[in-house]
Amino acid sequence: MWAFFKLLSVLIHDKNKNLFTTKLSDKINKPETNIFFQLALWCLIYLETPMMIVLVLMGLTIKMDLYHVGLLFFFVFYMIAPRKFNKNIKILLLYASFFIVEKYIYTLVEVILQNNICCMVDGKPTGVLNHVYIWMEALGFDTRY
Amino acid sequence: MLWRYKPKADQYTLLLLSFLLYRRVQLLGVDEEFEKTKNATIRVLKDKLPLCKRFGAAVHIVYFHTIVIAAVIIFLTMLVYMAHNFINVIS
Repeated sequence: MWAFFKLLSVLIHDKNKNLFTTKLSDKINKPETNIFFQLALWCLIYLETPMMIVLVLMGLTIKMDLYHVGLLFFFVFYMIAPRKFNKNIKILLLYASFFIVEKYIYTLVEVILQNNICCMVDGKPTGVLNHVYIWMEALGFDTRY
Repeated sequence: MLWRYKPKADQYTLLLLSFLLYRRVQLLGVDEEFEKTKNATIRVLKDKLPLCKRFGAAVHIVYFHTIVIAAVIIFLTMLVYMAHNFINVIS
């Protein structure tokens, strides 16, 4: 656990790439380096396997929308070209963070709409708003699942 | 009251894993440098933990046997299912 947090702190704070990599390769070759740090690094090297399991399990949930299908597409991209996927991993990071922030904003908008009596009848959307809700559900922007 | 949405645990897991992978790719790259670090780590771990070699070999054997057995079971299940449907169709 300590080694994991140490590795995480190094990953977050160290911004000098070359310095870190040289240090890291020196550290690995030294026998006096902590074995738990090396084991944590070993786990980091084989990170793709849990990553892909999480992607598939998230993609195969009961709720079928574009967000979950997109996760399955990411898995397919990884299976086709793992190195290209790793080079463009920033896209997945943005995808995951965008949907967390977006669902918070969606909740705020939903609360505002629920307080507006004209839009809602008995807590259910009516008219054009109903169609908007359906589209939001299909695109995976809503929070009910 | 406004912040009533709680993101699911899997969303945070995906975010954490993708962040770790992103940093790993930034620091170690994907091609030669990564392979070098990977081989060095495995070599040092094998030197430090001699049990690792045997344990790794055992895990590999169990893993591949499980895959083969699962594939055979799935294939036989598929055959039984197809036969069952075929009987239903012709009867």
